[in-house]
Amino acid sequence: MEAVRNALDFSDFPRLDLIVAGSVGIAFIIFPLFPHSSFAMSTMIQFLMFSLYGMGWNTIGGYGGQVDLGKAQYVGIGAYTTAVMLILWDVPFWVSMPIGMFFSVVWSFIIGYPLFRLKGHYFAIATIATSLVLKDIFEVWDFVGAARGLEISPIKYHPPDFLRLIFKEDVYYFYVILGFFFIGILYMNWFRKSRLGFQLRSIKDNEDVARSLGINVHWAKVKTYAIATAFVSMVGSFHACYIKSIEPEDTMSLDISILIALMAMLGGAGSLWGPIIGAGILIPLKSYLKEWLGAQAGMVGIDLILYALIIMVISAFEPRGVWGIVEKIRRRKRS
Amino acid sequence: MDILVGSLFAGLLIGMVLALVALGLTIIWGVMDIVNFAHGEFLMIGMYTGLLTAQGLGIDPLFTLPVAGVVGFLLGIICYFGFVKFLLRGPMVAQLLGTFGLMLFLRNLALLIFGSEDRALHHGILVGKSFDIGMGIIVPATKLACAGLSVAAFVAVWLMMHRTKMGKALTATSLNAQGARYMGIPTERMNALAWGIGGATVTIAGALIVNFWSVNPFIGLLFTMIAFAIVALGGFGSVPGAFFAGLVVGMITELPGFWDFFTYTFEADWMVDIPMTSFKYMWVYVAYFAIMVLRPRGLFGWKQ
Amino acid sequence: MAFLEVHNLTKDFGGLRANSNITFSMKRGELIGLIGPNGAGKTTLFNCISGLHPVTSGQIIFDAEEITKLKAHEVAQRGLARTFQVYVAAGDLTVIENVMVGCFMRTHLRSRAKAHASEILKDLSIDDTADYLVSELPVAAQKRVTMATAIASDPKLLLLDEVAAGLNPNEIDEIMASIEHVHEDMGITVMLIEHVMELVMKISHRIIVLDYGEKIAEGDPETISKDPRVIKAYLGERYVREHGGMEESKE
Repeated sequence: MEAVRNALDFSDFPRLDLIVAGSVGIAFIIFPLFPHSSFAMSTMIQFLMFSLYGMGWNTIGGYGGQVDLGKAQYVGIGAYTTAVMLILWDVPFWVSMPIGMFFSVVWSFIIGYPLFRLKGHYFAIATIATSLVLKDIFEVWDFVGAARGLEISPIKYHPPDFLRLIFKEDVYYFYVILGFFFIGILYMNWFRKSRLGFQLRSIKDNEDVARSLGINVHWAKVKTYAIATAFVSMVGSFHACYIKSIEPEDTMSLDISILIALMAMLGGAGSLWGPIIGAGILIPLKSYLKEWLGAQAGMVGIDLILYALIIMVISAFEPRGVWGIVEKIRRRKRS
Repeated sequence: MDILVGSLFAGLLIGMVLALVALGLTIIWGVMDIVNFAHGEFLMIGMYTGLLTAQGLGIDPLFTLPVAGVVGFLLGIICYFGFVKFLLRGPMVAQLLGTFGLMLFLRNLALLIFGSEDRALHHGILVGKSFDIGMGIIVPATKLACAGLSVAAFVAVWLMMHRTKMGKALTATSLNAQGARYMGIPTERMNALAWGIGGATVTIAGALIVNFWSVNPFIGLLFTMIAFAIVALGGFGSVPGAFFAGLVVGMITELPGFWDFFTYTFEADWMVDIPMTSFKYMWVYVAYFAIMVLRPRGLFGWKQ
Repeated sequence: MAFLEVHNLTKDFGGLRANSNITFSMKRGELIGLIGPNGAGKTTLFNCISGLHPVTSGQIIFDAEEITKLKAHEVAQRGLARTFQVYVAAGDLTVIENVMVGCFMRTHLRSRAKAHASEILKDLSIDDTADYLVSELPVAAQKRVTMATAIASDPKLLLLDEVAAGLNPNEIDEIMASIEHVHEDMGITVMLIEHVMELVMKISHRIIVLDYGEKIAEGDPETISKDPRVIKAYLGERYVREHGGMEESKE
């Protein structure tokens, strides 16, 4: 019961934050009622998906300080589980999603156990390696369509199909993912105040001190990694139904893993709003840059060059992210 | 039998080149404890430099190495003073993502300038020639020459790091950065030097590799990961370690050849069905993971 | 039955012997001081007892249970808490959150952890700093926070590593009062590493002296302060030859 109360309790934030968060939340809910382009709608859905990825990353990467650059493999596991089960056995999304989460979590324990013996750079690169191994396997595995990937053909179903999550109009997808988004925020609000959340922040601070306070550091990291994984896998399943065509290259590539970590860092890792702010800046930026510049003849890659420059500037000059700046200003004001 | 010896030989030759690829990464890592994700992109730039210089000046690709070295050295220094220096103040995650940004930047800049198609060298003294070294083993002349030149470059850097004053200062910094600072070795200059040497060695390796490997803007990541595996195996910051680990990883990339050998030798039908060539580089990642978990200091490591 | 027993504890780092054959025991309710020159192996001994370093050989028995092979968090869960000498809290935890981490060892409920943490902060009279980051506080307050965090896990034995280092005389008196409060009113057995002699001599029941990783003396403060081996370890052979013992040098 106390867990539910904690999840719903936002009272430790300043009133300004709550007003802003509340109005943005309401704006999201009524957004489809206003005239919008289909491009804006798909950007919005991408934003919500990546916010959730970022929230998942934030548990282990932000609160726990373990830089995980292999989250894409769980996007892949989630997406492929849902796609394969739907195509072969007509299993509804609401069944295949938890199954995908289960597979992801099992896999996360298998690699998490050895992985968390490593620290710092070594850990980060090892997460990349595991993700690339899985991608390589999927690229030659015929059962999942190898490098061609899988295609969910919407003709076979009768949209709107709420069980299988097959819709013609994006607005349905929007509300489904918005629901996940709000649940995700409540979960994260609980997490940051939970025992595990505190243990992780202590681990990030100093592992020896954490140990001497009775925290099983290795186990706490593995557990949190599984939580992060479940988040990512859940959205991965949604990705399969929404995009309808998945292949290893765009669900499991290193770029996805990096983007997830990057958003959380840009917004402010280790804070509740950080990943949402980060996704809110990066996703529109990325898709509009691509829309405006990427398609122009002779300019291939220019959108990604700008994107890369932004990453470089942020990492060099403001690595604590937007939320870090806000907190710094607030602290200065108080003292 | 000839498949076995052939694969062994091919693995050794490519391993020598890969060792040179990893050399810069291990020096940078040792001196300043930072991971350079853009390492493979430096190599890609080296490949383009070799290719374009050879085609532009109409000289043999093997003579483009000095050009590639200078380009790489300058590139390293510019990257350090223009960007990496600022990353050092930040947390680790910023360093990782920052050099990833650099990688993305260089990759897409190459895409913008050169386009996405594969390019390869078609002319050169050695291109297309090969030696028959007996037992039916044919070694392409380019690979043999490149392996030899890689070893020469490797030894040159090693000598520089152990015989010259500047090189000794660099070695000292990588052994103990703080201690070296107290002894009056300027950290900033050493960092820049590490990036310069790191850049120069890897672009030279690129100019060598382009003799037998076609280049496109996306080739970098593969080599970055290979270099990470070599550095992990050889021990982070260890120069001799990088050499031997390079040979081992070279062998790993030739695993499909060994696989074929065992398939024929044991007449194991089930082995035929496994598409080993598709997994060629996966074993490098698996090796990295296994090495890190089982022996985090690497085989010859002295720094962690 | 002794409360904490250490038998022949030896700890090597590579070729370096940091602790050599150390044996001592301690009764429930005691307050023991551990002193010795820099590099004598005091903190290493704490690290071995609290499970952060695996011991090379020897045996540690705490509250009738062998804890030699246990991991640090398992040792902590059995009621053995400690503070750290150099502890720079760079993270984003505030004072009360830091203390709550300790409380969470005994409870899963946030409300209970928070209530317990505020109680402890009040007890050590640092409740006015509750919402500051640890790094924003002066040294004396930081030392108290580390003590509060350790106490929050409700330990039976508390190892304090130089909680008075770097403090001025007033602050030393204050932290001395806090240690006595923890020891007497909360009933926690205490062992402390300390360089500040007026503190350690005043409050310890017994003192153990380490030098070059070996135990060179053990006894009540009075005896220890006159022990020639201790004086030699601290002041050097030449000083002792020229000036006599510690007592004379004070006059």
